[in-house]
Amino acid sequence: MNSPSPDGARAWRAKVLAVAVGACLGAGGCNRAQPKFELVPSVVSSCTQPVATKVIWDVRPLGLKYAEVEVGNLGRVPKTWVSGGATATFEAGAWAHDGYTVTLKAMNGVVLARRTLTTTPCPGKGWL
Amino acid sequence: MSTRTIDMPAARSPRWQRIYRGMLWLLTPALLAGCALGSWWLDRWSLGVAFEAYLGWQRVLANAAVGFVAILLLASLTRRLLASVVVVAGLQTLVFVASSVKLGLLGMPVVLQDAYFITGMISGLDLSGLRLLSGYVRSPAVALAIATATIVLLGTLFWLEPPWCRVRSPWRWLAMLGSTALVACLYFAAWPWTSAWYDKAHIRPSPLGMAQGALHGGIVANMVYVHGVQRHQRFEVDANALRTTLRKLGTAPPPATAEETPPDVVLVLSESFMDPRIMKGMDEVPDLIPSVRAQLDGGNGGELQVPTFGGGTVRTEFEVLTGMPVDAFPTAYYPYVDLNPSTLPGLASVLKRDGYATVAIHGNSGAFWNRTNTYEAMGIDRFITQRDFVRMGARQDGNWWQDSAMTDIVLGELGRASSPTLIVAISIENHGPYNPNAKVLNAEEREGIALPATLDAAAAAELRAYLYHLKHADREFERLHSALNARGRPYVLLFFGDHLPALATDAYQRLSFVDGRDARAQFVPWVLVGNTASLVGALPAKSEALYAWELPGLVLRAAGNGGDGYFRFIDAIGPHVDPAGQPPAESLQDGLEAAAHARLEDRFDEFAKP
Repeated sequence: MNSPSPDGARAWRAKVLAVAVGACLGAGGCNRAQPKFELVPSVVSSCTQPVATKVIWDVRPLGLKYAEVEVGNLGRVPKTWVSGGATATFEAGAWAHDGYTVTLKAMNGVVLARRTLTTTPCPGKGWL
Repeated sequence: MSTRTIDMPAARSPRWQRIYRGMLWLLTPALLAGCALGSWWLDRWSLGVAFEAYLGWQRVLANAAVGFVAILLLASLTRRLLASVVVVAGLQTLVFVASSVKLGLLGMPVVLQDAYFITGMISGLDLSGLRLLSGYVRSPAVALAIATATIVLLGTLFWLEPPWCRVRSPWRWLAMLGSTALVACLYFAAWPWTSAWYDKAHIRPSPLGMAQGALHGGIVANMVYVHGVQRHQRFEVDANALRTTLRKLGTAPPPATAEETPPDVVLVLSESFMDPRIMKGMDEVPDLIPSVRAQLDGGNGGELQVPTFGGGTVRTEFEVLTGMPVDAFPTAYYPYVDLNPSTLPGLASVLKRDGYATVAIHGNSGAFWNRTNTYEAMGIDRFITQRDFVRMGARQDGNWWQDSAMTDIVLGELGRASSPTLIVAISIENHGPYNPNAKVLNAEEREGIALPATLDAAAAAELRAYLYHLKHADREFERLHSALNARGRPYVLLFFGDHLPALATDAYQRLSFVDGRDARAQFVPWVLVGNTASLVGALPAKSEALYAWELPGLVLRAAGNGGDGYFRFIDAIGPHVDPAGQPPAESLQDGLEAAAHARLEDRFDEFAKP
């Protein structure tokens, strides 16, 4: 058996790398327009749950005029919460627990972005 | 030599093999990084949370590590790297998809104990677990076709892919040895699987829900953590808490008079049995459980708080058969699997001691949820399973054996008995999924069930599919009750639901509940009837709901049986707890937990002695 020449092997590796990078760029994953979507606050202490939250969105970079937001605590069926224009801010009551997730959707149901409330441990209350 | 080369597919030619091996050092890290990130993405997707939630390189690697070990083991055995990666990644994807479905139905992700579906299949040599799971697959034919195509593709991939090493390569043996050692460490819950990546501070588990640990650490890391906890679990008896509670409450006195003839005792755990009228608008349509309601209205029953929702029958079953709250064993989510003791004192062992024959009946495999071994540990003499249902010519209605077949078996057993008998009957007809298109024996009856107009077509169809079987459960309760009365022998019959059904549609949300609470906070009905003199005194004076672990004490009192020290302790606690009210005092909870730990080790009497 002949062993492969070092130059040939290097050329192959370079080709594979080029294909991988090209696929990434071609898929648009590296350069796609993103909506703005914030959950405020996004991190709280476990001691303070449930907390009131606010969502802020801007879907103009995607050329959309409207959007809607679904909300759900972990393990619960998500529900449509609010819908609005291309930019909007909505405040929610104190019902968000660790894992509370808001999902920004186009009006045709396409998921645009998702944010989740996370927590830091509550000293002395390890179960929270 | 040249002939062999011509006959080989291009992908297996020596040239391709050389190229492939040259690329391996580039491919391997890329594949592993892709697997780790892909696995994290799937994990977050299956939980319905953002990719960034609790994202950190430690968590990503901690979750991927088990998959890496599996890849290493498979790659060392087969000498195929790419195919091994594809197989493991495919299996992980299946787990995450299953977890997503389970979270939607039951509100909890896949947990370690769910692996019992698989191990139970292997150890019990039966396919009941697979059969139950397949009920939740929307199109089994398509799933089977995909599975077959996947196996063929993987086989082809294994065949086409050149080996990454020689048969006797030291690298191969090193990989095999290392991965085997890591699998052994995982099984025995030893380092590195007990390192900081998998500790309590990292996972932050919560007794409030199994999903919390998965959210914080990832589903796989949470499983590793839970496995470690269970492997090293010891339920210490808090002697101080137990003695303090015993001093404070004492134990209830045994029944004043024993029954002249020990009555037969029949327990019916009715799968997913609930009172539909806890949902709004259901009181405006014809009653679907008239027989049970008549008993409830007559004061022969009430509401029951059960420790599970939508599934997990064995949790309620464990509480009713042993009198121990499952919350006393927080690391044992499915107690029949997680505790698996050689003896399990409870209702069956107490009655057996007093000369009872003990029989269990369930129209599924005995291996399912380890029931065969657990019933044996409880002191149940015989276990009648689906094989006997088939042999006796039982019929299925929908996916499962009819409740009427179970009633026939109960009555047949009692008819043949030569001694007082305890029968534990676990029904299955109303097990999910509630497929509106399932072939049932009386489709007209199903379609004729009236429902409130607030439901859309899909939710109404699913609810009808459930209520159709619920009606049958109520009918069978009445048939059993009448037959027991007609026998002329003394008896006690306990009938209860194990949990609310898991509905895939939004029927619960659309109807909502009369008391304004969530589906998971709802109670199920229990009914205790019989013809013993002790029955009236046994029924609780309080009108509040009961915990499921209070029921066996009630049954023993109704049967005129003094039980044992533990059941009298449970009876004494009863008046001090109310699942519909405030949680019990912490000291009482500690005492109850300590009592359960002592009971599990069959040491309760050591502490109860004055």
